[in-house]
Amino acid sequence: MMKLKNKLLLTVLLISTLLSCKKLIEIEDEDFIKDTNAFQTVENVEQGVIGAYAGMVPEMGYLLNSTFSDEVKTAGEFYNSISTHEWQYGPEDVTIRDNFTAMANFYAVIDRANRILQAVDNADSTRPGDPALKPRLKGEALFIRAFAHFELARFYTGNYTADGLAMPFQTEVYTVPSKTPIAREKMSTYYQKIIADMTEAKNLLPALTGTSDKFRATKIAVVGLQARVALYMNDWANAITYSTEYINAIPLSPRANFTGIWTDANTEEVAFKLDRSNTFNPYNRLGSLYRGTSASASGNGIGVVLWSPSDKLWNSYDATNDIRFTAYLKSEPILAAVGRPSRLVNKYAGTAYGTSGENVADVKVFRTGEMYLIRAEARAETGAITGANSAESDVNALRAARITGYTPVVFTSKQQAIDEIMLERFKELAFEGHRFWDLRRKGLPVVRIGTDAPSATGATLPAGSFRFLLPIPRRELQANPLMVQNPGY
Amino acid sequence: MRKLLFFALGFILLSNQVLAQSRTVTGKVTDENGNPLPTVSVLVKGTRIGTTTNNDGDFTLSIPANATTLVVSGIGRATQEIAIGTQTSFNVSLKIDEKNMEEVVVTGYTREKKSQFSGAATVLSSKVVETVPVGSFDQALQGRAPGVQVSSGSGQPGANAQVWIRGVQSINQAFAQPLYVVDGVPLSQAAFQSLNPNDFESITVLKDASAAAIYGSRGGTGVIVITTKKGRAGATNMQYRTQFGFTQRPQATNFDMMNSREILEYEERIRIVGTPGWTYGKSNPTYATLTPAQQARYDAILDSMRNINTDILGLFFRQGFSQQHELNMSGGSDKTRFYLSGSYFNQEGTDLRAYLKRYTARFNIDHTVDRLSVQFNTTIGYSKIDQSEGEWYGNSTRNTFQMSWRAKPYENPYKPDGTLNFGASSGLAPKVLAIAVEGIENSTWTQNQLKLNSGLTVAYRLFPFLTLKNTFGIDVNNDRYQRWIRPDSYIGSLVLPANRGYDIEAARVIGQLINTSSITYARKIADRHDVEVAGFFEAIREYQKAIGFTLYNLDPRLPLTGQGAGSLPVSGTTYPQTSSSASGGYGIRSFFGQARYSFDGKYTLTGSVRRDGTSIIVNPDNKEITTWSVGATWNAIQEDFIGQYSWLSDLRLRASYGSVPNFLSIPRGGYGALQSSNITGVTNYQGAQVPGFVTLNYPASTVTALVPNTAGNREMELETVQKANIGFDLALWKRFRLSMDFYKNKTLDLFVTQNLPYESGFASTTVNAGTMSNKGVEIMASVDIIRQKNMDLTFSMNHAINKNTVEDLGQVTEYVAGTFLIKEGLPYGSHYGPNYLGADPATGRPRYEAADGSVTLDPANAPSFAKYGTFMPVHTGGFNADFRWKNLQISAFFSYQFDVVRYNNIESWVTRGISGYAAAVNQRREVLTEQWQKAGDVKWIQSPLYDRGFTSADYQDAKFLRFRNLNVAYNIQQINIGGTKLIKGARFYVQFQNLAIWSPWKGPDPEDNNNISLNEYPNPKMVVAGLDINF
Repeated sequence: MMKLKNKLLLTVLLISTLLSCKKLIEIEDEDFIKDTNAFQTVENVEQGVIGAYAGMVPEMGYLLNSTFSDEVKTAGEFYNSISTHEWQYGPEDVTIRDNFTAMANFYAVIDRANRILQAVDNADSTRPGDPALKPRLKGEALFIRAFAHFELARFYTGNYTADGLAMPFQTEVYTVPSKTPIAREKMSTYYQKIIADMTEAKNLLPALTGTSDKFRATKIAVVGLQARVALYMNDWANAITYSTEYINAIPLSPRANFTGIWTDANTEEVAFKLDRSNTFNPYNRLGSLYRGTSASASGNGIGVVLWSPSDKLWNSYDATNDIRFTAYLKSEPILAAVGRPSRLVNKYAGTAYGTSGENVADVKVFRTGEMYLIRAEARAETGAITGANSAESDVNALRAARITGYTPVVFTSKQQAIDEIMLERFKELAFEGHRFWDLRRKGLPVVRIGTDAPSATGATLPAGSFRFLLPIPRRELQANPLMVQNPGY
Repeated sequence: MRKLLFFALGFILLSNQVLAQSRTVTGKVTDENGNPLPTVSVLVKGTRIGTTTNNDGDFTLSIPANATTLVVSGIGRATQEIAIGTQTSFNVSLKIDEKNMEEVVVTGYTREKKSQFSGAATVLSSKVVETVPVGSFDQALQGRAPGVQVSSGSGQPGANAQVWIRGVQSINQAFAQPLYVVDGVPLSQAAFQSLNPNDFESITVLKDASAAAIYGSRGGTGVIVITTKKGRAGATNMQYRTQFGFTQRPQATNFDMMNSREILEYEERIRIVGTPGWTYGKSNPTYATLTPAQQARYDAILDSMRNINTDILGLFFRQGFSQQHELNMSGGSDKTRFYLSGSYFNQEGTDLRAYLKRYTARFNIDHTVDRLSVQFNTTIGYSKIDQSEGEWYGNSTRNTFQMSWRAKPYENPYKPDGTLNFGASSGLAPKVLAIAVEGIENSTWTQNQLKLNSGLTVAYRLFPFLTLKNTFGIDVNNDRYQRWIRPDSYIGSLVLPANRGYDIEAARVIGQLINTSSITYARKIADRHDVEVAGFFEAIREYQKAIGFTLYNLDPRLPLTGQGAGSLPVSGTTYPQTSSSASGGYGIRSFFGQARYSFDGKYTLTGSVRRDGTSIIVNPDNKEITTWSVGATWNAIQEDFIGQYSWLSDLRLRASYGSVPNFLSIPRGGYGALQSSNITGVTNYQGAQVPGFVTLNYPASTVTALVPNTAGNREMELETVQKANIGFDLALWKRFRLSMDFYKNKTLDLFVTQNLPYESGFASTTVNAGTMSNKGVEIMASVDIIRQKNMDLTFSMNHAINKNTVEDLGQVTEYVAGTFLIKEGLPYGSHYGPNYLGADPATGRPRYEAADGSVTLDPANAPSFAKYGTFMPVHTGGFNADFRWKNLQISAFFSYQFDVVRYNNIESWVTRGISGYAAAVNQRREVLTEQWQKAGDVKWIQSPLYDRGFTSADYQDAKFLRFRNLNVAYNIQQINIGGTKLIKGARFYVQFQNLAIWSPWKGPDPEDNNNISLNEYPNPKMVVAGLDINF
């Protein structure tokens, strides 16, 4: 009797454990968002799009274009940027400032966009507006992917030639560890992929209207990018087409409103901007790239002056009549009174010293002013030097909008037109991340005047120097066997 | 009382035999030297009728007429059966049972005879944990077993230690603890405060592949197998145990901090803005501009502050009181045996609030009928820990352990009326001490734990050589955590957003179910071939669930509750009333087998192989994991040509090799979103293997942004440790015993951080690409110096050397991980920082070693080096002396470690010598004399104008020798009053824990479970007096 019971008991125990075994190795941790469940609905995909915008940090390009070029000089209060300001960077120097590596940032943004593109078509519509939202989200992801690839080209690749070496164009969500690293492409195919993304994005995105949210991409934002890309490709016809499309959609700002663009009081000229507020970490304060935040408004309380505008830039403006001088630059008497460097970059100064909005300013990604200069350059390059619809008319229109009592110039040669356009780009687009790339594009050296140069060797970067292209970081070369270093490094 | 208990047991005992008693026998039981043996069980075979011997070894027993055999058994003695016949008086001599005491290694699934055991294991008797006044038994294992590094991270009562067996096996999971198993049921990690170690009978540390491979991948970091006390057939024993004692308040350390006068002078000397020393000092230029009345006022303020010298240790710490009570009972018949105990443990910490209270009950019963045997072991514990305020805050002025050396002694925390002087603190009017005390008085941080560990084993002997067995076990920790700040206190008024305290509560359940089924074939063939083959099937399910919330704006009338919490202000930054939950867990399904063959008691071969399938691995291809081991033993003492030497009492050689994956090596995540994650959390075992996402707020959008934040790696597999071990056991003249083991462990598929191509969108991930090795030697020796009738003296020691080397890192040859450099050729945990060389005599600037070995004054040209050593000691060990003279026993135990370097962050702060630190941190006295002040000074500490930073100046040798335990005991003989036996015996003892420490380390305690010292709760000194009474 006892034995039978025992046998039964054992049998039951053995069978019950054997039955449960399959499930035991299939248990999944389900309480977190992972790749397999992140983008199930259109609502989720929109979260991803906002995440991609949140990752876009073109302002580090602002700072590097300033420090690499002749836009700024060291104020003497804090200077540990010999490697950037005096062009001593190498492949080991992966974190050029604030842990910023352009490859890391922009490919991360591209990854965010690729995840959206991978998911958006099959995402479930759960809300009434979702079916209509889908194409827009896809368009935004394509725009972001094109934008980030173009930024990478600006950091790491030279002037456009069809066979020139561009960067790897990433369209896949990378699974780790991938067995197939991707190589740098030819510029021709790389730029064609950017153009294809832009074209498709433009088809999918809504037009800009009076009520549009300029923190999200619209057709006209794509146009701005198209114009810029065409300029870098020396595709003058398209540069004229797209810049004209932009200018027709968004005219130049009245002079009275110009300062308000930089204090975010208005969005004149801007097709697309990135939001920066004091709560958005870590890229919360654009102005802090040039001057630290202040403890108070007193002479010693004002934040450390990291970079002053170069004397070359300072002296290039008509300080009395050019609205850009006061909007971009400032001579601070409070600092002068205590013997501190008093010339400041004012463009992104935000609210008053020591307040929570100090140095907080949105990133204005595309502006009408830039479009005029793109068109002027394209027209100059295609022989439209003077007269109506020429480089001359564009430069004069822009200057007239900025300078009180402006007397129009007359261009008599292409070289004069190009020189004037380059000067105007220097002044109009200061601290907006163009200067160093513009000098490279035009085959010009960086020339700092005597009072701006940090040292004798830091005065000039000769035209065509290999340092106009940033080095591919060493760790990328270790991780990607197909990666090729830029020449010179 | 005893009748009542027997009555209760009547329900449990499945077979009662009532037999008529007819005659009386008497006898005396002695040891081999003729000394009487008390408390030996004498039982009529096949019945429950029996008694125990008294202190003279005598017994008297009435036996039934049909009784034929007496069974005489004593703890640690070989059981004897004696035919009764017509005899009425018996003289029995019981020999030491070396088989029972020494020769069995409990591996958990099996019991191995030591003569056949090929592995490396250390068997510890319960003596090392029993009655030691620590709340978590693992703390008591330090220095007891060679190769087992036990580091106490906190003096908090109930805090567990960090245990490494044979060094760090993994980089990613360097702090993985061994597997703990009690009577076949695993214990959840690092939570032992609700267990009563007095219930333990043995603790076996399984170190090599042969010993631990049977546990499969869970055995990768070694296994600690615990057995609990079981009843023995014979008369029922009852024991009452009690202990009272004190924990000593922390004493001044060898830091030698400045007193009030000195720190005020120092503040003035280096002109620290905002401090009283400089503000009121005569050398401050403003002093000369003051009126004589104002000057007199400044002088008076400084003079008063110079004389304050607050006793900070007295303010923050106390002498803790502790007590323990336990009642246990054991006994049974040859069919049914039981052990039960109930205990209460209460220990106050030296921190004003810290304590552990514990209540436990254990019931172990086993029953054998015919070919069936059933064993049920269970313990239930309930404990409450109130944790120190310091450990909640970590690096903070609210951390009393930090403030004990950091605070300026010129702060008087009390007002003239004796109340605490808290409020807004500034350099001139510091109130940090008062705020810290007010904080301790008005907040709690508690953990209440209900613990259950229970196992039911049913075994059935199908044939004499074939046994079926099934063990089902449950281990559950149900924890409730609470962090509460009183709403109407000063610190409560600082809590945003409502300025009325907060209440964080969380509950967590961690449970483990295990079921092991086995079939064992064991047979001795032709008396020479000893064969055992066993097959197992096992299923394990681990489960975790936690819920928690945070509430602000509490109702001051209602203490320690979230009831009555009001709504929150919505203007400005919003603070939602948050709550959260998460769950996790894993399963393991295993098939395994073990085989052993012995020839002639001389040669033994063993082998095991195990296949684990587990959910912890995401990749289906990597879910199945194989563990195997082989071993061989040569029991040389059985060979005639060796056994002929009478001085050689034991000699055995062992060798083993195996491959043991490490289950705990897998990188994992946690649920950080759990609001109360700072008091508890849930493990996300798969979190690191799949790409993960986080949400963030992009201010331009009301849509919450979702971004990928980890690359994941779906190809992860477990690290595998290849373990080789060779050892021998030697005994001479039965007095001197020596065991040595030599091992090499090699971790393959080591998880390392690998750079990803940036096109992936991520910087790095963790991949199986490295190799690490641990090589070492372990020695264990003991010698009986005196072995006489009235006196014994035994000296024992153990020592281990472990050399860890990172051998291969895959893609790169080195990378920086926190404050370590992980580099091929260096051991894990190698400190990495600039090499500080003292002050520059000309300028006072800090001097550093440059890359080319020259001296540089430019911190930018001072690279980090990794030449200072590691926080993992190379040498660890312990030694003890046990002395007995008649009834007096003295045991002294020391533990030590050396060849170990830790970063002394406290030292770095208190010798920093710059205003940025000295403004808020008291400085060591040596700063007054050893700091550069003027050109030409040759000093170690740089000028106050320059900071030297996180450098080699503060890597310190953390070796120590600790007088860990001293126990003086007196055994009291049986006490009879008027012919009635009052007690069978008793033991009175006084025990000292952490009696003394010798170390070059500066500061409270060189011992810790990590690499950097800053805020630790130091291990306290304790003294307890105890009494065990046997009835």
